[in-house]
Amino acid sequence: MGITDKLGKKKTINVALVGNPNVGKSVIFNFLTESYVDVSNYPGTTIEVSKGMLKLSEKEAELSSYNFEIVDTPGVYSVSNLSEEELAARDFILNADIIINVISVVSLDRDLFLTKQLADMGKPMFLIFNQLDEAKRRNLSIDLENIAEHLGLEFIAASAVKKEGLKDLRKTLINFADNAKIKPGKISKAVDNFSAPYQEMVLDRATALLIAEADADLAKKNDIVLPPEALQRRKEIYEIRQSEVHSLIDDNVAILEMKWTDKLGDLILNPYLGSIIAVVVVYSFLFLFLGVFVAGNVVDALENNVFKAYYEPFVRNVVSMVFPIDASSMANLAFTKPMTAIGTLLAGDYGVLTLTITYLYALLMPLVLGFYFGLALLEDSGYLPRLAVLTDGVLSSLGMNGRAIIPLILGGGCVTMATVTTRLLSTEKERLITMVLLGLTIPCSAQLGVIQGLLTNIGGFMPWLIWGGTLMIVFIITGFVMNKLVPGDCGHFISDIPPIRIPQLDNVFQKTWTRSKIFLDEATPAFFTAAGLVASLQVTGLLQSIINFCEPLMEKVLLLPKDVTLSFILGMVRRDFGAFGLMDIPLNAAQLVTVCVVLTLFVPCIATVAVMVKEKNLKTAALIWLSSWALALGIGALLARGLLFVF
Amino acid sequence: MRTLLKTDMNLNEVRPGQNFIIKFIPEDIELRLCSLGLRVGDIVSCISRNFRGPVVLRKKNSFSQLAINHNFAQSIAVNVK
Repeated sequence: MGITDKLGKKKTINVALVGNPNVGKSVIFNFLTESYVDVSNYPGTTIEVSKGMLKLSEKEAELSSYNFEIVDTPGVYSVSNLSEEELAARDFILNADIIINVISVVSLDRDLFLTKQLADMGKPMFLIFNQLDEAKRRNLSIDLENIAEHLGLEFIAASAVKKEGLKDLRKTLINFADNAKIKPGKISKAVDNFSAPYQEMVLDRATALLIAEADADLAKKNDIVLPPEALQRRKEIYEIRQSEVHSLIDDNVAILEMKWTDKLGDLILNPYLGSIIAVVVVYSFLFLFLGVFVAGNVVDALENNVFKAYYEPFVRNVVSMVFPIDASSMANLAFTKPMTAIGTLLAGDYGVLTLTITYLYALLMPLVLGFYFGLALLEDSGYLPRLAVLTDGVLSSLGMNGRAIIPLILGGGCVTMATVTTRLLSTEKERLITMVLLGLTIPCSAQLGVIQGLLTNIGGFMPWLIWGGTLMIVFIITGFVMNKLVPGDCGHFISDIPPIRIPQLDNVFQKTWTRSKIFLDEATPAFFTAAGLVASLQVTGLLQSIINFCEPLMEKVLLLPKDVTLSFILGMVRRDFGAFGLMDIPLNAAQLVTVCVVLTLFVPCIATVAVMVKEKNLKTAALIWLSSWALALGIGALLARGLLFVF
Repeated sequence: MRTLLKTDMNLNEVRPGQNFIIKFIPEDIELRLCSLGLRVGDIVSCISRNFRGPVVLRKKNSFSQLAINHNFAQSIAVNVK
């Protein structure tokens, strides 16, 4: 019989998963809630707090006296109100009934500092010593029982990514009511002396401890004025805690055997060798894998051998049984031949059942899957934080720091998602600059794939070099100018570097699929809208009028045929859709490179603009949108003329 | 009070492969580094140093690596062993 409230419902216990960044909290969250949140091998993956209920079988639900709400908190090194993540994690910890502290056994010297702080808070707590597989691989000898005994806490040892050792955790939670395993840990006496005076004022031990550690926000909420020596006292508490951690490590951990992955990780950090490796990685990923293999071989086979050969003719046959189709007409069919207009809208050249489905499943899907697969491999291997180290010097002179490389690379998947990820950057200045550079110079995966495919078709490395080089120059100049103009600080790069790991393929596939699905769910309605819009413009004859109107801009300014206007119309809805529009227009090499550059620099898609408005404001989003227009057309005009001497 | 020896240098001057002791950390980053497991007196080795970029350190008897921005590294004093 469970414990129920007045409405007859079981009471809900709040469980906070707490730990340093990159220790496996999200994997454990996924296991407990049977849901999926992103898991990667770099600090700061969890930028939003995820919540879910502990999934119980019918039998378990009968046995359990409570419901359990699990919260996956952002990774933190301490809970001292030093950063936004720490502030968010602190609030969940203070409200939690149970804390599950996830610790990486490979970095105990770093992780146990937070453990000591949590134990000093005096909340019911339980330890998970995770990444045991890595410790075994390195022949690391750790006396986990002794460490847990010293802390006065129960523990389980687990390899969460391999789902080893986690079954006991469910049992421990379900039996919470009469469970001796979840109890407060030993409180450090030296630290207790500092917090005792505040405990009388606020009653709650955890809050008292944090006020003793100079948490000004909590002090203010409790009407307590911090004394001038508060910061010095925090320093003393930190010193005590760190000394205790040091002696725990010295007594219980025997190190060390460096593995080849550790040596590889060190080599990647070498400024010279690391830069060469970075070039090889980018070339292999973007050019060979995404451009030649996915956009070339896979998309070609799907588009020409499946969709254009079987699917589209089949749809046209079915639709034409009811509605006539005038496939390539630009005439005003809407008023003169309404039945033909409907048929053309459904299955004409830009039909929602033909073009949209072909673009979505023959082009977009393989490109997005390919990009996210490659990105997941890079993320889970631990390569990205090393790239952040290598690029920190350059990015600092552009008003950002090394951490900005993560949203910039994620932008290659989806600029909209990457714009949200800019939250992991610590200052407004670097967020704004990163957002502008994302909207301006970073193509999303599908657009990138199509552009790589188009450039590869021209032949040779030169088109790719001109496209990439132009974007790089725009990226550097824009960043440099913004660094000078935007007031504020660009933040400072202090980060732990996770070890190089062999990616777990199940996580790579899961992540690839989940992200691709999110991307496609967002893209599909936009694609249908764009196709519907263009088909409507076509059957009303307006498309031809717009193309004629833009003729001077296309032909005189950008030296492009007027039909390219269609790509720009599509590109305003989604940039990748704009790039797809190029595939059926005959262009020479110079025109192709010009239009690829202009479409990349062209306005961010509607979804990205919406996120920019949410993350910043309407004025900033509008400014970015209009500047993108001006820059794209200006640079396109210059490049078109320059390329006349190259091709 | 910061007392530096003649053999002290700042973290930016350390070469990859060198072992050294942390002698001084400025107050503004002391707590942050402490919560990341680094404090005065720790024995550390330099993994890499990038031009105008971060210095990457590994503590003795640890797998943990820590990257510290160029400007901060400039203000941290170390004594090479």
